[in-house]
Amino acid sequence: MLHALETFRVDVAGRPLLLWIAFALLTASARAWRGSHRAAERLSLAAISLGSAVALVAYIIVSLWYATVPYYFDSAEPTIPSVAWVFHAGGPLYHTLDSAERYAHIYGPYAFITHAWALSGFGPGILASKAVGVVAALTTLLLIVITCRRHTRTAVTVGISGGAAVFFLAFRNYSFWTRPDPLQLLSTALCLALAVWNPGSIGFDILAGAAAGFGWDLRFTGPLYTLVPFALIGRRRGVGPLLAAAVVALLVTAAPFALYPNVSWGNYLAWIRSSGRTGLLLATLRQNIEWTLFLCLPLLLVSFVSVETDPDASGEWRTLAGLLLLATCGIVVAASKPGAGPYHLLPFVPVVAYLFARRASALRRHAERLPQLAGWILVAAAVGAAQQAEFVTTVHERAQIADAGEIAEFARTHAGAIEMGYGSNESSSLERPLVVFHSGRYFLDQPAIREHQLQGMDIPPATIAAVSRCRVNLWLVPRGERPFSGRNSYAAALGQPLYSEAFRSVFLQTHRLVESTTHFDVWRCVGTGE
Amino acid sequence: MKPASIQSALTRSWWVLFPAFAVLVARLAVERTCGDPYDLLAALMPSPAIAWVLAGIYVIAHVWTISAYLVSLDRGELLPGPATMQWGKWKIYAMVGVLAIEYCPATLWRFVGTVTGCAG
Repeated sequence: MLHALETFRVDVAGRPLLLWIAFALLTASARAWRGSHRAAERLSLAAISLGSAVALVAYIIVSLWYATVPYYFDSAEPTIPSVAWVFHAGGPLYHTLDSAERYAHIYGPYAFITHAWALSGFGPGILASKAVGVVAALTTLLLIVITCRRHTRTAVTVGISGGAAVFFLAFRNYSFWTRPDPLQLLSTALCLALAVWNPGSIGFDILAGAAAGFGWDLRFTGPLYTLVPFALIGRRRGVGPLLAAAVVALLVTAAPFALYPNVSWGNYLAWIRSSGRTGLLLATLRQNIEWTLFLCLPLLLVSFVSVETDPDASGEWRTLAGLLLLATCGIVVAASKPGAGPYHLLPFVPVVAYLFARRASALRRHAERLPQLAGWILVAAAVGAAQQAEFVTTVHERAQIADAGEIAEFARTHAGAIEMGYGSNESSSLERPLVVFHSGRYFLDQPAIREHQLQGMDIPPATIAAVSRCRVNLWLVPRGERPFSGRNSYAAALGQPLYSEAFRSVFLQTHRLVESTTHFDVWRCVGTGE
Repeated sequence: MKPASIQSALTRSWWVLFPAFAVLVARLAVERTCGDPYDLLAALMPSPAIAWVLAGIYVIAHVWTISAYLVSLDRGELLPGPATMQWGKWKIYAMVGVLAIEYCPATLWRFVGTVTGCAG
């Protein structure tokens, strides 16, 4: 069963639109052959109800389970809590382009500051860092329910929330992982909920602006996610409240740069500019478009129904749908940068759910569309099942290695500056925040180095000098692996060594393998004097 | 925007968009057949200026097709039929044809590459 799901995941799970077209053609042929329309509609309704209910429960269970496992799934997850703890300790969030440290990313300050707040509030730990994403994701789901309930019945609301959950499940843990995506989701969902439920109060506009500003800060594409909620504010409340919301959003976006001395606007801009040099990937662009069309498919189904039955379909709904199309076009292109992908569409899910809820009642008069909607749920569920099978088994296997206690114990019992190094396999270094939580320092972040290489930046001389001068006394390198022998996995730099020959030779000249723990080799810096 | 003005914009923009998109898709088909399907136009795409122009053509072609479909829906046709053909004529089908080529499964291109002997 697991093997079949993995084969499905690798071969076809990335083509949901084609799967849906195949399903729609099959069901249309079956209906034409058997001619039993009522039976097909009843079966579709059952599939939609059951599929969305199962997805809703599965999503809540999987996200809560992930929050209780003290191991990360993705190689980029440890970056956020590590940098967050450096920020908490007073270190720079964005170092300069040529500094010895290599951990700067292009995420906005709140991506790290939110985690820093959680880590300082609940104590530094992997579970605290994972709780941020899970709480944000589950709150988003609740906000989707609240927003949709405004326009449709409870049963339909549950169905739509299940639809959102099944789409989230199709993206493994991306909607609740330890990166900015759950926060971006929360920002959009909250801004939308406040815009929808505004009883005519400027307070709601200001709060919606604050929620949007939080999201604008996370990524430079952030404003595109809140285009529809802002249009809603503009249409319903007028230009004044819209401007007030926009000003508050800008203030919230800029606040970390003004309030924290260790958040440098200049350095952040320099990294953003540097990131702009990477170009785009056409293979990713096509993938993004396919996923966008799949995500918006339910809207296309109800928009078709509405045109036929609802003379008012050309009003506000169409304007908002048009703006959603515009916003998705921007994200589709921006998310074609190396390392990005269709998961950048996740923050649109609350908006799509809301627009669908506003037109869902039209489906009652057009039950013949239900099989197509059922097809959407079933395709998303099949992709979700395959992705979750891989996700759950990988995390379960990671948890069996149980190296977290060993890392924490080593950091506690050894003096001097300790850092987690990298071997050939990055997954052996995923628990590196445990070392950072102990020292408050972070030197090399391999996901950052991979990105920097893509931008044409190799390890700078300052880093090599710092390595040779024993800035780090003890390195924990995955046992049996050659230190710093990883290669770039991005297509544009595929297979290139992540660490230059100069860096590696300096490391080997100035460090000695002094001991081994169960999972790590310990390399001690002896400097150039030996 | 009224459907008539959208229709007019679609008709005019087709003459600029379609040739560019068709050439792009043809080139991508060649690369998928004979080169690396995961790093398409490897010489051009790392340059942000060129990449954004090509991505723009690619995305706008999709938006054009969706818009044409919605206009045909607006005229009460689930698939482009007589009413749509009055304005869209063969333009919609030409665009859909190019999109169909673009969305062919990668295995098909690899097969063609193997048969023709150009696959690396």
